[in-house]
Amino acid sequence: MTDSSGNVKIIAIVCNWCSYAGADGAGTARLKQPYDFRVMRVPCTGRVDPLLALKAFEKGADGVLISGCHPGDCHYSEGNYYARRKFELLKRMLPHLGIEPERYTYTWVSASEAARWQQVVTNFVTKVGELGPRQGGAL
Amino acid sequence: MSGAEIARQDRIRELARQALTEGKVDYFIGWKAGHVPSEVIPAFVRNVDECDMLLWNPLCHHNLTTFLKRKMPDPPDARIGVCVKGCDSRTLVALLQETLVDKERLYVVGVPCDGIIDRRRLEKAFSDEVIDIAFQGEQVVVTTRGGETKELAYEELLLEQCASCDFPNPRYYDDLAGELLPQPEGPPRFPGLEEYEALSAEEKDRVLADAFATCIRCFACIHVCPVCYCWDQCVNRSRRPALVGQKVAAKENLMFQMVHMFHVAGRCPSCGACDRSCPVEIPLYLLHRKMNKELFEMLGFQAGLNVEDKPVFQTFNIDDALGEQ
Amino acid sequence: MKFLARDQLPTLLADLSTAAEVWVPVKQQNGVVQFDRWAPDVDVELDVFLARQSPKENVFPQTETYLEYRYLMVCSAQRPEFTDQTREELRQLVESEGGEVVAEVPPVAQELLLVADVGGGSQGEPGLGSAAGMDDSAQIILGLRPCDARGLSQMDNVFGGYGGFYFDPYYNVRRNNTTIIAVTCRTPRSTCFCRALGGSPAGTEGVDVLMTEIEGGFAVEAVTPKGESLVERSVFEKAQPEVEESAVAAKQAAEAGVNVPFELDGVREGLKAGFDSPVWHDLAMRCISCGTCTYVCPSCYCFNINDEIVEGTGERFRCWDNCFNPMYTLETSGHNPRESKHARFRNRFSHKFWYYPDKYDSLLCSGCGRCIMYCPTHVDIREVLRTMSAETTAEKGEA
Repeated sequence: MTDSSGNVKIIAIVCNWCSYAGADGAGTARLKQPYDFRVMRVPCTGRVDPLLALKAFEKGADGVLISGCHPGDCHYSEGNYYARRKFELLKRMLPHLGIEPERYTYTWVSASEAARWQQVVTNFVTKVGELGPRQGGAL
Repeated sequence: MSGAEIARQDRIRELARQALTEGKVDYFIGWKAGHVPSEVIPAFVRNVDECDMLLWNPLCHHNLTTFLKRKMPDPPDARIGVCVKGCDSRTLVALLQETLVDKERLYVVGVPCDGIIDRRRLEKAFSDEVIDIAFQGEQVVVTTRGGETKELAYEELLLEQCASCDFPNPRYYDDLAGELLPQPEGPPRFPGLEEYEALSAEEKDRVLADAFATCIRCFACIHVCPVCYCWDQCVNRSRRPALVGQKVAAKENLMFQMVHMFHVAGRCPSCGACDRSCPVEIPLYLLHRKMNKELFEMLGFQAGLNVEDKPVFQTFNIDDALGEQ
Repeated sequence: MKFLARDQLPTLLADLSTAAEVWVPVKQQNGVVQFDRWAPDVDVELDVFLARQSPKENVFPQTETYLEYRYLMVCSAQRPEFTDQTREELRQLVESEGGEVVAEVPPVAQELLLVADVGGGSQGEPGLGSAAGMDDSAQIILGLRPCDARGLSQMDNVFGGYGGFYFDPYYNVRRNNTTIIAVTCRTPRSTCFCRALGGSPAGTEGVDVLMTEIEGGFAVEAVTPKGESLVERSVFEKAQPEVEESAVAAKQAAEAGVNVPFELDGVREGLKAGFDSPVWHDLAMRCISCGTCTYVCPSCYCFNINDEIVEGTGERFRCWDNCFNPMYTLETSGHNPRESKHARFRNRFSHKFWYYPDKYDSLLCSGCGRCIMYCPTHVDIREVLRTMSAETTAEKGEA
């Protein structure tokens, strides 16, 4: 755990079937995780409009993490395939809006990957923590 | 005006006349002169004898595809004839790809285009009102209300996007007004971004905050956008859910604009209708042109090229190699 | 009449800005002229004829917060004891933050509502709806045109309680603290039609001081008592007779530059007679149903009221709205009485020249022509009114 924990607000948007279960698993297994992210559960990453991430930034989030089932494992077969094109466009557009690229990422964590979840959030929170809170004037 | 342009104008009138005479369409949409000769406005022609008011010149900036989208046709099931330039045709193709307009009710006249004039920039060169803009060969003769006259070079007055146009010819049409122009070679160009892209994150933030603080939230950009079709159901105005803030402030304004950009991603070919409609001249191209540049680099995608193509976000490739962690 | 030398304009502005915030038309970086705060390094732009927007926002801000509040969560239905606990918390908060409880939802609900300090109340009493606690510092707007000023005075009726209707405290505080120094038009545009509406490029409706550009400076006339005291300042010189002559000539020249594109007589009747006319469909054809015309208009005043809440802390504010917005007429049932484009379009013109005059005895248009200039498709209000006037004539002709 880094010193920065507690400094920043991070929104984690996770799908119900894989990443939420993975995060749940990490909790059950008592894997140590940073505590400055809030989880938002959605049925599938295919439901995630980039608007949700932008809205989070607008309302003062310092980082946004989106996580779903691994490609090929989507509970609805192909939701994450559609989603990743949108997520990638968002990833490329955010730096254009003056938001540091480290503040946003998207990844895949399955229900059985509690350790991976721990590693993903720890890495992400550390990176965002190093940048500190955002002072965005535009978004 | 060059011979080619007069020929195009004649042909537009002829095709409109034909379509109306044969009863192929209920009305025909083209361009006509506004209240002063320096303005060109959309024209809706219902009678054959009105066809002579249709015109074509480098002031015909309106993307008439806008008038085909939901709720615009009047009556709703009207059969419509419409003129499209290269960029306009791409927005039409984007609508056709998603079957958002009915091909059967359309009669499309494609107009090859040499480039449209940046009227805003031109106007700023005068403090007096510009009331006449005439085209004489490569020269543009501008007259103000006070009687001042200036000659300017056509090439230098072009809109930034027209000066590096990749599609001077319509991508979709039933009939063509004039000869096709040579198709430019090379990869697509996305002008006007370099300076902004070179800024630091902090500077970008400041530039956008300043620009969007001036937005008056009139939604002209959204309504004029030919590929933005939710009409009354737009999430930007919805209060249930209340996803987009209704305050008029830099953050809320940029937010709604980003919603617009993301929702038209895959259909937007950067026709620039939003830029030209903005009453406070916010550089919206910074967003949509960049988005299209990224889409091209990401997936080699360009919006609205062929009717049979699938829009980029309505399909996927399991081998997409993207930047997930 | 007084005279102000052109090089004395900054001196005047500096003098005025000691006691009030001064707003002038300023050319922004992108070349767009808008009203902005004056400061010693700011140039007043009077060459470009009209600012993009009138200074309507100075008295009627586009977004204006009414009140701020906070929700306190309680689980009252199952655990009534929490209600008392929350009430106690509330009491402490009110004490420490000076808030005021304006509403309390009965214990069946999940929440209690705490409304933080708003000032407000009727007739200046504390409580909701008054302007107590509002920023009421004086402001002076210089460089607007007579049509902009007239737009404000037309709006005054709706906010000012005319005819016994609602009196808006927020608007009136600002309006009363505002001094208007208009400048006679020098180069009217082809889109100007103030004269058709009984106005003039040197009109004084809603104006405190009128300045007319003449050689070497401005001819200055005070119109109201507020204006009289303003022109007492030493920077204004006593006007020589030729100043008055030049001013009259300048005004006449401006008058001559304004077209009269239609007869006002018959417009209201035409709109009334032609309400169901199919002509509206043709007129609205190129309208894209955005709100540009209403937001650049110096007299369109519609607004809506919104609540936005983040994490239990909310804000109630009003912001401009317009009759082209689908939400404008949307009813709770989901029914929208103005569903189609032409119906929304019709409302704007009917309101300005028929409903508003009927209710408030004033037109709601001053003929500045901004809606023609900035409409993305150049919908022309003059053409609309001309066409609708003809509707009565046509009917009479038939009869």
